[in-house]
Order: sequence, then structure tokens, then C-alpha cells
Amino acid sequence: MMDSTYKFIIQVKAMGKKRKSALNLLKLNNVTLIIVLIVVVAIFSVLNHNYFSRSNAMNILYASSVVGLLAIGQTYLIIGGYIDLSCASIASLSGVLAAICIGKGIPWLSALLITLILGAAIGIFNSILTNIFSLQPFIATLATASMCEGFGYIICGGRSVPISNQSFIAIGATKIFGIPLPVIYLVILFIIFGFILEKTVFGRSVYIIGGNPTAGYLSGINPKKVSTILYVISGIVSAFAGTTLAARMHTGAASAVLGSEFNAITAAVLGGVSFTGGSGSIGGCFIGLIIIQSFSNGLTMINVSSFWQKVAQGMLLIGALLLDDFRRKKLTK
Amino acid sequence: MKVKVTRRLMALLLSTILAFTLFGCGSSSPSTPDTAPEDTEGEKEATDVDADTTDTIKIGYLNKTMAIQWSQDVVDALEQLGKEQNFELVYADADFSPEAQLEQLNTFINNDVDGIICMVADEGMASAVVETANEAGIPVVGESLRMEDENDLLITPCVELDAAKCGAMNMDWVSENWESTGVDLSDETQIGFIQIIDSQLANEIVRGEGAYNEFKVLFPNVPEKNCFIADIAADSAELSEAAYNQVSTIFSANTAITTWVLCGVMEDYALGACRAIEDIGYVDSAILTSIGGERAIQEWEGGTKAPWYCANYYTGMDAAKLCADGLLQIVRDGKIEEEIWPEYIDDGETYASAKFSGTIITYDNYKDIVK
Repeated sequence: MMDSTYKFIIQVKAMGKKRKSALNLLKLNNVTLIIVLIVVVAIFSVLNHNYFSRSNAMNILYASSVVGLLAIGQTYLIIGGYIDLSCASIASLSGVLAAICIGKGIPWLSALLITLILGAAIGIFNSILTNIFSLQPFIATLATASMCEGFGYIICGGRSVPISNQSFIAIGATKIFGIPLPVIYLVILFIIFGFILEKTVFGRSVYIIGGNPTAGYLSGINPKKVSTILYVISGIVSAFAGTTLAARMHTGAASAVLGSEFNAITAAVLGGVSFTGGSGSIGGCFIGLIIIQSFSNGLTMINVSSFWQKVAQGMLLIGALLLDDFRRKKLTK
Repeated sequence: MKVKVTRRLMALLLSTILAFTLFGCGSSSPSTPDTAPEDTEGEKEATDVDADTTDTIKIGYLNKTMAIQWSQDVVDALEQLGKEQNFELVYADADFSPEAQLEQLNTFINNDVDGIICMVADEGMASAVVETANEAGIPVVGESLRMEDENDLLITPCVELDAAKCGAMNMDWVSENWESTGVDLSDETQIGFIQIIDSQLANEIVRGEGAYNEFKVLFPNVPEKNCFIADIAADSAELSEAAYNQVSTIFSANTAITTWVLCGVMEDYALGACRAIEDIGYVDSAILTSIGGERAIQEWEGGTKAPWYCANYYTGMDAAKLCADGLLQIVRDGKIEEEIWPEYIDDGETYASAKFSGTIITYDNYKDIVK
């Protein structure tokens, strides 16, 4: 008994050290990413003088708003050692559901609430699949994605559902001091979830269950409880993303966000979130997201053919990952 | 223990709410999308024919994806035509997978379909589909996408949208009506033109080119540098959002241009462009047109006229009628593929490509045209 307690104490201490060094690494990682972002912005600003403008910055942030919200949930889950491939399908389903609710005369706030509850419920469903039935998160959430996608098409009969309620449209289209609301949501939610992850006990428990679940369990953390919260967060944020997109486009479409889960995962990984869990940050994810969008936006601005854009985007990702790998190896030495 | 039970009950309750919310939310249309393997054979019975079944012909519709409204419209129209013309429809959704479509084709053959209408999952697999079907003695009519060999020659009769003409019709409307919109196109040097396409789809490229070529004829003094392609192939976002991103970026990159003419070769693209125009504040200086009109109608029904001024409107029935007519000529009347629609056989081709091109609708006339 004493022996196991002793081992546990050593493990916890090691976790503490690892955590500190991991934080330093992450800080450095963000610096690297910021440098990459500055280089991207500088190059495109030279190639097109309108690139470095307020309106284009808004374009980049606007384009990031949906994927960014999905990326928040993904970052949490990947750090915790999980993944959610259903987030985009939840978003699409929520957008359609909101449009249908609005069409049926339900007040917009209630419609929004219904979609958020739906998101939470699907999050719990994902958690049940992974925690109670012990299914692999990748496969379980893929199955959920398929179900949500199917339900999305079923409830709207495959047709887009127009939205004419101006109050609801306002949640996606209103601008405050020229800044679109979805951009404000994005920034606020990144700040809130960044704070939770870095500064709270819950945030630390996410790192611990992703880095060393056994140690986490021994230190009193219930990985199932934490992962349930993570899936619920992912579900709610995804539902919110889908609903705001529906408001922005004045229409709910069952295919609206499909495929975006991979962009969200890409943003998280580019931002330094480790696929093996236990490390990464919301800040890094945000910078990764902005790098991807700035790059895509810049290529369009300078009229690069779409096929070359795909090649260039792949190269950017590989380049950033290699740079990150190089930096990690250097630090290890 | 009590807490644990309560939590589990809560989880169960929420999951049940989710299921009931979804089931209770609406009626599913008869053409509910059907992913292929639903009944292991990827086939769905779509009609209940009550007429004399000995005369009933079974037509199989191989579809690229039921996730687009167009496909559902075609299925709905074919179902309606089936009731009128006494044929039974079975259909299958390839969900963009060529492999799945070939499996579904074999299922159709095993189930004794008499003829096949096919929106091919990948234009490169047209030969495989036609050869397999013809070996089994089953004729094929292509829907929306041309079915060609490696020399770009048709290998079976097809029905398609007259893509170039649709684009051109939109620009004809702009040329004739811009003064009524309040957007001043009198100074051609200040006009910018954007065609919104997905360059991965051949038909969309032709639509865009049709619009662009006609635009250049009608507005010859627009500088070439003011003409842009918003290509959503580069953007991994959903269609409308991708179009939004591309168009708003072009606007930001070209602030010197004062008036804009846009053509979304699909209405989803036009929807995204419409939001981009509104967000950047160009509603009074842009004319947006689209190929496909359902979403434009949705906008107009909301009371908004600008900036989406016109749309080329066509329906699934336009395509379905031609497809059914061609196939029944072969199956029922005994004609061979080369004999149908002789008026649509182009020089050098063996088979016809029957075309439809839609009608221009606007805020002012759509209620008269769209019943």
C-alpha cells in the first residue's frame, strides 16, 4: 500500500514538472506560430496592398467564425485524449432545427435554446458511447455524425429552410462598431475557454486525463466525468456555430457545415495541440486558425488558381508541422 | 450511489429528448434522401403502382447524391411522371462514390430494371456504367452530367442544362434591365464582374463561361482586370459560406471598382454572394444573378429585391420529362439509343444531348411563372 502511494506521489510530482515544461513549450510554440502568421501577412500585403486592411481582416475573422467555434471543442477534446467527428454534423443539424423552429413560430430565443439543448444532448450521447459502451471516440463520434447528418436531411426533407425572422437573423448578421457578431462570439468564446483551460482546476484536469489518465484517476479525477463535460461543451459550441451560420445566411441547410470538423482539427493541430493528448492551448489553436484563413484569403486575393491553393494549403500545414517538430527536437536536446 | 443513478437517468432522459425532438420536428418528404446501403442493396422503391403491373416498366435512377435539392426534385418529378405514364421508379444514392454507384447499377440489373437514368457519380466512370448496363441489355439516359468517352463524345443519350445559354440569359437580362435596378452601369470601366463557380465541375465552368462571354459582348469596355472568378473549389467551407468568403475577398482586394455584376452558377453560391454584398454595403451598387431560382424566390418572399435581381429558373420536371421521354421511346417504343431526339444530335456525335435552359424570373414576375 505504502509502495503504491509512494509511486503515485512520484508520478504526480513528475506530472507537475512535465506540466511546467509543457507550458514553456507551448509558449514557445505560440511564438513560432505568431512568426509564421506575421510572415504570411507580410508576404500577402506586399503582393496585394488591400490585404492588410480592416475590411479584409474582418473577412478573415468572419471566415474563421464557424470553424473556430468547432475548433474550441476539438481542442479541449484532443487535449483530453478524445475527439469529436460529429461536431460539424451537430452544427448543420442545429442550423436546420433552428430554422424549422423559427418557421413554426417559436420565439428565436427559445429556438436558440432548443438547439443548444440538442447540442448538449448529442454531447451526452457521445459520452455514453465512449464511456459506458467503451467505443473508440473516433468511430463512435463518426457514427453520431452520420446520424446527425441523416436527421438533418430528414427534418428538412433535404431542402434548405429559409429564415425571415429578423431578430434571429440579427444574431448572425448584426455588426457592433463594424465588427460582425459572429466574430465577437468567436473572440469572446476563445477568451473564456482559454481562461478555463489554463487557469482552472477543470482545465488542469483536462490536461491530466489527456497526458496520463492513470495518474489523473489516482489523483481523484474522474476521466469519464471530465470527458462528458468535454463532449457537452463541444456539442453546445457546435450547435451555437451552426445556429449563427444559419442566421448569417438567412437559411438552415442540412449540408451547411459538413466537412468542417477536419478544418477544426487542422486548426487545433497546427496550433500545437498534440494528437496524443495532454498538451496544446486554445491560444495556439486560435493562431493556427487565423494562419489557415489568412493564407487561404491571401491566395484568393492574388488570384491563385483553386487547385494550386489546395497544394499550397497542404504545403503550409506540412511546413508548420515540420517547424514545430524541429523546435521540439531542439528543445529536447 | 443516488447521484450516480440520477446522472444516468438525466443522460438517458436527454438522449430520449434528442430522439423525440428530431422525430417530432417535421414530416419527411417522399423523397427523403437515402444513403445507398439502407436496405443492403442501396435501392429504394419509390412508387406504389396500382395499375396493371404487366405493362409496368421499371426505371432505375442512379443518383450522384440526394443531398442536393435538384436530385430530390428530379426524383419527385419522376415519381409523378411514373404515376402518369405507368412506370415504376426505383432509385439509389451513390453519395458521391463511383464504387457505390457501380454496385447499385448491378443491383438494378439483378432486379430487372428496364431502363436506367443516371446522374453519374464521377464523369470519368460514364463508360463503365453504360457498358455494364448495355451488356445486360439495359439502355441508359444520362441526367444533368454528360456521359462521354475519352474523346469527349457522348456514349449514350443525355439530358442536360444548356449551361452556356443559362449564363448568357442572365447577362442578357442585366444588359436590358440594369437601369431599372438603380445600379449605374453606364461607365463600363468602373464595372467589376464575378462569376462564382466550382472549377471542379465541368458543367459549372461552362455556365460561368457562358455568363462571362455574353457579359463581354454586352459590356465590351469592361477592363479584363475587372473580371474575376470566385472559385469555391479552393474553399473547404460549405457552398454558400465558401462563396461568401471568396466574393468578400475579391471585394476587399478591389476597392477601386464601384459597381459589380455577379453570376452565381448555382443558387447556393448566389446566396453566399448576396450576404457578402449586404455585409460590405454594396447593395446599391451590385447586381446579383443566379442559375437556379429556388433560393432567390426565398429571398424575394422575404420582401428583399436587391441585390438578387434575377435568376434562371428551371425545375427537376424539365429534366425528368426529357429523361423519361427518351427512355420510354427506347423501352416501350422499341427505338434504339441513336434514334431518339435526332434534333439534338450535334455534328460528329452519335447520340443526342437534349437541352433545357430555364426561364428568367425576377422579383416582379416570379409569382406568375413559378406555380
